This record gives sequence, C-alpha cells and structure tokens, in this order.
Amino acid sequence: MKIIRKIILTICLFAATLLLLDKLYTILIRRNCNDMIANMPEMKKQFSVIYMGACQVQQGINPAIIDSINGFSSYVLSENHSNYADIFLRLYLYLKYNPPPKLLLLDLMPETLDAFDNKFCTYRFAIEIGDSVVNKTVRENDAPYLNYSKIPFMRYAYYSEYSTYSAVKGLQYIATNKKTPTRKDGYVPAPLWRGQLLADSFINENYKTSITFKIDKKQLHYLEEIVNLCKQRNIKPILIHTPIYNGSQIFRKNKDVIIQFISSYAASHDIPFWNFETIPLSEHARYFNAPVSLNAEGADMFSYYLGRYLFQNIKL
Amino acid sequence: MNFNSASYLLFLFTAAVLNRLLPKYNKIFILLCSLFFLGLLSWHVIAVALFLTWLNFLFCSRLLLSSSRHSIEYPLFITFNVLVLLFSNYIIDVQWLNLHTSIRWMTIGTSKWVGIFGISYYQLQNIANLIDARKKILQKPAAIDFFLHNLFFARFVVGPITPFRLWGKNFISVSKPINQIDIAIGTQRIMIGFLKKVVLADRIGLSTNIIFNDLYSYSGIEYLAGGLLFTLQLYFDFSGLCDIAVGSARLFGIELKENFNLPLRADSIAEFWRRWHITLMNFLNQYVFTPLAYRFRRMRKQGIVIAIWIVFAISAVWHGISYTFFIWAFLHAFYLTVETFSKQQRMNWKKKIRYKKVYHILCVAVTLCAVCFSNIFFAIPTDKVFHYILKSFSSITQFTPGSFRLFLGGVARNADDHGIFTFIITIILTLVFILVEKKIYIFINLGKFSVVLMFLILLLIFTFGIIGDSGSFLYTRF
Repeated sequence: MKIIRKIILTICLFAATLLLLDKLYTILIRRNCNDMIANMPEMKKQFSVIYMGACQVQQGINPAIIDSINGFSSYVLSENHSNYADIFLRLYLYLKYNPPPKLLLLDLMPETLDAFDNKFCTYRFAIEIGDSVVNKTVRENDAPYLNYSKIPFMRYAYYSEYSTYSAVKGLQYIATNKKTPTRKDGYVPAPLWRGQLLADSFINENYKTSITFKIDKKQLHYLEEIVNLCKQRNIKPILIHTPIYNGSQIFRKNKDVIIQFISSYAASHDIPFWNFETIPLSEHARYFNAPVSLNAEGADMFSYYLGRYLFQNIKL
Repeated sequence: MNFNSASYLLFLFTAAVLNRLLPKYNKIFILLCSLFFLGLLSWHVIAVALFLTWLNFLFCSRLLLSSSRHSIEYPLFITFNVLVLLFSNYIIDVQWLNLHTSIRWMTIGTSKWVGIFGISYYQLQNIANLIDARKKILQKPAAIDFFLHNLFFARFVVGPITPFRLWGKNFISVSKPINQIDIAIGTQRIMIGFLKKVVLADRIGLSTNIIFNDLYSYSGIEYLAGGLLFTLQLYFDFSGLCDIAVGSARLFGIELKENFNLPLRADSIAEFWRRWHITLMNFLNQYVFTPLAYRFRRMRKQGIVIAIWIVFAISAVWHGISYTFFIWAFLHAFYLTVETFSKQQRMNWKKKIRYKKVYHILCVAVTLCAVCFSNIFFAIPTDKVFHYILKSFSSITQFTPGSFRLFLGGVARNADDHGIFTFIITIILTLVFILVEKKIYIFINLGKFSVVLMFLILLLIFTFGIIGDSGSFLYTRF
C-alpha cells in the first residue's frame, strides 16, 4: 500500500534524523560555555574552595569577595532548585573532569532537607547519560527519563524545553567564538524580582500557615553520598546554613528540631556546621529576595561575613 | 493511560493492526479493546460502564416499544441519567466542600474513576439516545452496536458527543477492511493532535500556569495577556485531544464528528459557538435550546434570549461546581444577548462599510478578546477570582513601553534569556500554526499523505515538544 510505504519511509527518515540530532545537540551543548555540566571538561582550573547548594548559594555567595579576603580561588558549583541528588551528581561530574578542591561548603538547612522545595533536574545531566553513576542516580530519581533515553535523541527531546535552548546557545557561541562562561566563578546575582518584591510581601502572599519541615530520606541518602565522595577525594566538607530573613522565622515551625538534627549529624560525621541563619543582616528585608534567598546586595554582605569567618577559622 | 503517552500509541497501533487481521470479528475486537482501555483507568470503570450501557440499552428498547407518550418511564430514565451525570461530575468537587469525614473518605476512594463518567460526555449521549428513542427517531439497536457506540475507547473520555442514530454508517464501515485514506487521515490527525498538545498547548501552559498561580506578582495587562494565552492553550489542548480521538477512530474505520472548526477565526460569538466544541453545542442546541426557543416563540427575541441564558446555565453546571463557571457562562450569555438584539444593526453596518476585510478582521479581534476575557474565569483559582478582577483593573494603567521586557518576562515566566527564548519560540510556532492550520486540515481530510509534513511535525515534537513534563489534558478537569 502506497500510504503505508510512505509512513514507513517517514519513520525510517526520522529515525536516521534522530541519530544525527543526538550528535548535533551533543556538540552544540558542549559548546554552550554557560551550561555548567556541559562545560565541566573544559574548566581545567584548580579551585581551592567550592560552594554547593541550591539558589541560596548560587545567588547568595559571591566568590570574588571571599577570594579578596582569603586569597582563595573559589567557585560556586550551584544551580537553583537543586536537591542533594542533583548536588551529588554535579560534584561527581566536577571531580570526574577536574582536580578536587581542598574545601567544600555545602548549604544544609531545614528547607533543603525537605523534599518540597528543591528537585532533581534531570535535564542538566542529559549530556552525561551513559556514565554509570549518572545513570544510577537518574534511575533513582527519574526512572521514566532513563527508559526513554535509550531511544536516540530522547535524552534531549524528553526535556527539550531546556536542551533546545542550550543547543541554540551553543550555536550562538560557535558563531561568536565565545569560549568562557559569563560568570567565571559560578555566582549569579539574584535577578531583579518583579516590582522589586521584598521578602515581607512574599511572606504575606505565601506563608499563610506555618511550615512543618520533614526530613526526606532520599535527601539524607544523597547527603551521605556527598560526604562519602568528599572523604574519598580528600576534600574537607563544611556544612553551612545560609541567612534567613527574620520575619519568616515564626512560620518555620519545627526548624529548631531540624537544626538540632543537622548539628548532631555534623558532629557524628566530624564535619563542622556553621549556622549563619540569624547573622545581623537577616533582620533586614531589604537584603532578601525571598525569605531564604538573598538579593545581590545581601549576597555581597553575606560573602564578606563568610569571607571573614573563613579567614578566622580556615587555613588552606 | 493518557492520549498523549507513548503507551497509548503502542496500544492504539497494536489494536489497529490486530483489528485488520481479524476482519470477521471487528466489532467484538474493538469492544474488547475499549474494555481493556477502560480497565487501564480502573476496573471499576469497566463494571460501571457496562452496567450503565446495559441499563440504557434496556431503557431505549423499552421506550421504542412503548406506545404511550405520557408514560412515567421516560422522565424516570432521563432523571436517572441526569442524576448519574451530576453525581459523577460533582463527586470530585465534593472534597472541596470539606464535608463530613465519612463522605470525604468515600469521595477520595471513588473520585478517580467516578469522575470519568461526568467528564466523558457519556451521560449526555445516553440522554440524547433516550430522547431520540422517545421520539422514535432511533432504530432498534443491536446490542453489540449499542455497546460499541457507548464504550468506544477513542471517544469515551473526550467525546465527541454523537447520539447513536448518527453512528449508523460506522457500524457498516467498521466491518470493512480499512483503506488507505483512513490510514492517511488517522495517522496524520494523531500527529497533528500530538503537535497541538505537546508543542503548542503545553508550551503556552508554561506561561499561563505561572501567571494564574502567582497572581500577586503580575499586573493587569499581564493577566489579560494570560487570558489570551489560556484561550490558545485551551484550544490547542482540547482540539489536539479531539484530533487524537478522531485519528484513532479512523484507524478502525470509524468516522467521528469534528468538535472544532477554526474557532479562533470566528467573527461573532454566535459563530464562535458554531465552531467551538461543536458536538456539545449541537447537543445543547438540539435538546435544550430549540425546544425552549419553540416554547417561548411568542416572546420573539426575548424568548430566544431566555433560551440562551438557560443553555449557558446548564453548560456552567456541566463544567463543574465552581462559581467561576457561572461567571464565564454569564459573560457568554450576555455577549449572545447583545448580538441577538444588535443583529439588524450590525448587518446594516456591514452593508454600508467599504473595507469589508478590515471590518471582518475587527470583528474577529473583538470576538477573540471577548472569548479570552471570559476564559480567564476558567483559568484562575476560584478563591482568587475577585482579587484578580480588582487588581487587573486597578493596575492596567501601570504598563509603560519601558517595562516591555519585564512584561515579556512576566508572560514568559522569567525575564531571563531562557524564559524569553521559550516564549518567543512558542509565539512564533503558534502564529505559524494558526496561519497554516486550515490548509493542513484541508490537505489531511482529502486523504493525502505528505512525508515532508509528517517529518516536520515529528521534528517539531522532538525538538520543541514538552514530552517529559507534558501534563494531562485541560478539559479532563471539567
């Protein structure tokens, strides 16, 4: 039948196209120097300190300020909405392609131990699918994706909203011959929130009732994996609690219990836990974008505070 | 099993191939496939669907045999079906009322599958069959035909609503070997449906979800833009779903009625309703509006207007338990009332006006704006509706040309490059599709198959489709 032949022809043609597209996207995404994961083999730089966490770290720690105080060479290896599985895999891939840092500062707070706020962003690791550790972690966190990724190009098509953008950016960078990332130290200042919304109005709209945090077992498992990875590679881990806007504290119902848990966890693993939750800047809404994330001005102030703290307590 | 899933495609094409290999037992095979499909939703669905179908088969047979027009059976049968419809349509929403624990326990346990009968258009069809049986315009159905019509998987959840009497041709064609035209139309309609859902509706949904779930962050103009985007999303989502249903049926030699006919090009609200959700409007028109308009005929235009308001009140009740649906229905009834009373005036204008195309474009734009405004009430959460109204009108003047990037960023989720890239690509794809949509449908419905067209659609689905995060279809909410 003529139509069936045409349908088969379309399927065959498209299957061949998928194979080509997979190769093309891999090349383009690798050339997107602002894609943190894709850019890891190209970093080739020895950082002495690495900061990891979700948006609280990505937007809240400015390495330039800390480095100016301590003479470190530090890097924010964080992206927003990352849970500990995401952080673990990013650290693993970083260490796969780069020499280990001496120090790792990891953000740990009631919000990040709860499964509610952050998630595993599978699309970030599409380019590394095939690596056994990446596959294992993806299977544990997004099994349907891994099943589909066996089909050519599906590793990119499944979350095409992100991968197509990354590939287009790669194409742009090839055209302009851009080879260095916009943010060399990984720090991304918080975007100007719409209408410069401050933490107070955020709280009014979102914190209708108190929040009871739950410790997610999966988060704890990957936290353990991160600590183990640090031990294997002789990296000194330090757990930190980034600042929280004081106005939101009354809504964090059981935060003391969770912080107590974090303290005992840190003590049992012989890891320092630095709690910056209530440092002086946390009293002012104007330094915050949202109750748990600093704006650019707040990030500079906190980075200075953290830099001084590191100076007093750590000698690399 | 969602229509937009790979497992559905696998099920569909396996069933279509097997159906072709079993030419003598097509009806039974398709019925078994339908029961299998319903079973994947829940085994309760099979049991209830078979029971209700059997009951309605008996009701129809009884009404066809009955010679009395004033028998008590007819109102009883209708009432039974209406009660099933209301019960199944509202049971999900009962949880929202925070009723007594025992009732909530029941709804949590049953809402997953009972709701299907409320959204499936299934009961509307049964009601139509009973009315037809009473009017004796329905021929006595064979049991297998009645069951096949009622339970056919491709239309069970989404329609289109087609009374039994309009399905006659399908019972013959389903037994014939499937031809090339059916295969060409079927596969291409399914692909177009996927394109509309995962490339257009779901991409637009990224913006609308953010705007309507985050009301405090946005200004009035963004809400209005959100209304337009939601209308597009609703159209692509629902018509994509119908395309998949029509295409799936065609692979079994069954021709389903069309539910959409380029509604975004309507130049009046009345015309819009002749093009949007056609089978529901046909049902309401035939079984509610026409009898009412006839009853109120002495009141002339006022009678028609009363019938319109009743039809839209029923439509609101059918959509769900929220008062936002009544606001939506009120707006449409109001629009149609204005159109009814201004019909002569508008015709006079049309005759006088020199640039007829410009007039037509203006009418299309005004109609689209009116529809978009009403659809906002479909989109926003019930408890925030008045917040929305107050804020949208108080802040509409705050928009300045200088804030364009922020505005774009708002609609595009984030003012960053990724958000804007995503939004611009979505808008380009949407506009291009709207421009070529008519030609594509004409081409496909002629039974032609284009390798280039299919290749392009597949390429768009794989490079721009929201495959991993694709949600369920919007209309299954109502």
